[in-house]
Amino acid sequence: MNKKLHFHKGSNESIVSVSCLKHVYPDTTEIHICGLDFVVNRGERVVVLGGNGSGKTTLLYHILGLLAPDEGKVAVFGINPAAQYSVVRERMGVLLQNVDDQILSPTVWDDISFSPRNYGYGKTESADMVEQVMDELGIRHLRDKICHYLSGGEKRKVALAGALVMRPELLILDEPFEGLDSRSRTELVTLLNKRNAEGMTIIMSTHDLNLVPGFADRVYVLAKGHGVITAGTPADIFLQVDALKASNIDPPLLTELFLKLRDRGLPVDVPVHVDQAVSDLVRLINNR
Amino acid sequence: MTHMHIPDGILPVGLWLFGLIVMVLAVGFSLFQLRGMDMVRKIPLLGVLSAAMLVAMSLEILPIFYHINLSVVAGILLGPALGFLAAFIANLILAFMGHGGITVIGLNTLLLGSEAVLGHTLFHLFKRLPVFWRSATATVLTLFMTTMALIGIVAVSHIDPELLSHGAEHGHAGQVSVRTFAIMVVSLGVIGWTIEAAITGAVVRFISQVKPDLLDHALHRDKEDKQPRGNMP
Amino acid sequence: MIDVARIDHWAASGSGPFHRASTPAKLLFLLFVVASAVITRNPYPLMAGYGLLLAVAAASRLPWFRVMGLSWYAALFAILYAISFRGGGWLAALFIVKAITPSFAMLMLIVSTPYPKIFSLFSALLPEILAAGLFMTYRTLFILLDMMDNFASAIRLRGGFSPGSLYKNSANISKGIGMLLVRAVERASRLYAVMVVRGYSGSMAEKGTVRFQREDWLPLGTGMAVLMLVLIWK
Repeated sequence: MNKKLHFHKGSNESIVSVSCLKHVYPDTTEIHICGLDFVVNRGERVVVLGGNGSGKTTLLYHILGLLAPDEGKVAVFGINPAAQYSVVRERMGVLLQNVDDQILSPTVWDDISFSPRNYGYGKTESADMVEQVMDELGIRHLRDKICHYLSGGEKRKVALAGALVMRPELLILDEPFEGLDSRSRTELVTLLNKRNAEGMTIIMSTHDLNLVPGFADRVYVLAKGHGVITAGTPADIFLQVDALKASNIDPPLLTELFLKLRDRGLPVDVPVHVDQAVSDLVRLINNR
Repeated sequence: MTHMHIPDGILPVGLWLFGLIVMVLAVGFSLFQLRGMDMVRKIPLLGVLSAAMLVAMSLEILPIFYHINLSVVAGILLGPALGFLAAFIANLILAFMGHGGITVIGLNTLLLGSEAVLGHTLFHLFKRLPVFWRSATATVLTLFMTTMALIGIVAVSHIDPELLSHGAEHGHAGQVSVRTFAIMVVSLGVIGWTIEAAITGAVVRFISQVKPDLLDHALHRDKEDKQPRGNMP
Repeated sequence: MIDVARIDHWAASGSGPFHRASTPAKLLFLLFVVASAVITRNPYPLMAGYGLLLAVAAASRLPWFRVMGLSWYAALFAILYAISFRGGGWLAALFIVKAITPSFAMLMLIVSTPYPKIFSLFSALLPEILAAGLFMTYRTLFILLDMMDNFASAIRLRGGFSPGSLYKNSANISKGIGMLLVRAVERASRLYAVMVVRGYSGSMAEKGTVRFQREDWLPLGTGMAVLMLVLIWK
């Protein structure tokens, strides 16, 4: 079985759409995700921001087809994922917040080769796919290691390898930066951007606003009890301080600094990146 | 005291072979009983409950190697078929930890597995009792019955003429006394049954307070398919 | 109960000749020793066999002293069983050595072979659900052991353990076990979801293959030597 995917980056093709979702858990907890519709186009990098209990994980699990909504609609690649999961699952990859829940097999090789083996790929082809992704993530040396003895960062790389090995069209990540040091975070963002440049669509939930400018094409903000309260580019979202505070998120320090400078009467824009902030400040100082 | 796992080399060949055959049939029957259940749902349940049994066995309650084993609790939560399979997996892993023999996996599994089956059955029989006493009573009766089964195995195993005749060659009459074995095992066992019954009762009561649906075989139901793939997160 | 984490660590971190031998060879070694224990009617050749196993374990840089101690765990049932025969010291010695010798061999196997390698051979023989259940149990075992450790630490820190207070300690242990089971069941639910997402359709790990190594002479030779001792020395 030889699988090749042809990506079309930058298209307006909507591959995920969620509208006014309601879900009731067995313990009777209700989650409503209404407000704006959640739409992801092919090739986009979408970040979902929200405080604890805002419904980020519930949203992602509906997209994955792990949960079926009690009300509302979810479509992935035009299909209801909960009803027809087997049709779409090979095109999706996932990295969960707790990687111990995601690593199923005893050794690293077994775990990364889990999906190719189970999707019926031949031994040689599976091996090629696994070797390729191990090289990409720099974890070849972990090949025969038992997963339990890996460090947290190593486990996360193994879990990510398991998600990427099938070269999915859509990758979903739930709080992928938890427990990672800053170098590891940067490495992960670089890898995700590289895969996105090759056409992979990415949906990620995170608390870490500092990583959003370097990554997101679009940001959705969820607030507990209110669903999707705003959406836009990182630059748009960071200016909406009230919306961020409503979802229990503090705006980035850079944004807060420049908003306060603007309040003091200084003619500054609100930058998203540190480099942009440096340019603005240098310009401001030179003009004085 | 069925938690005394029988090692290799002691019991007659015919007996442990018989145990293996019966175990294979029992495992086959359990798999047949579970044929309607989603395979992907069974595997994690088997895995985590077998692992939980093994973790419980690592807690030494008394210094004379006595440990609880949660087989009755596993039976209550998983039902008899899955409970028996969990006992098999736990026993296989125990054998590969040097805790019980390879040849006697059949007999050891039948003992442990029957605790899961009996525990489940008795728990549901004593519906009128408060949940602590329901589980504790089921545990005491289960362990009593399986200890009697162990004594029965030992009694049957004493019918080994070759061993006895070799013993006679070396000047020993090899006088058979299952009664001695039974007295020792039951005496030690009573202490163990009491402890395990108390702990099982407390554990099941805790579960009934925190997650009562687990006691109603919620694990077996396909969740009336509002959530076709599980309760997340 | 044997410290499974320590055994696993020994198995994963050793580099002696016994570690380097193949899993099928070591399983055959175990079968030879078990067969010896089953067929012997004389304790002396098996005692010599036990001595040989000790020597091989020591020479192979296995943790032989610890393994020797663990092998005596099997003696408990043997002693009670021997007492039931009232056959005197000779019969008791026979039963004890019949129990501890294969136990020692098993321990030599597991402290030199990571469990995934052993289980991957079994996965070729067992039905899918049992093979996968075996791997899943192994994978989950350490996570639950960690969870239990954390819980025990939390109880200790919060004053939940008192020397001499059997009732209080038992009550708290029971809560810990109850919590462990609830978390275990929740974990099962998450694992089920992940297995579906990752496309599980019958293969948890690669099936083991029978491939022998150069160092296999050690376990095979040792196992055969024990068997020969029992067959020849009657």
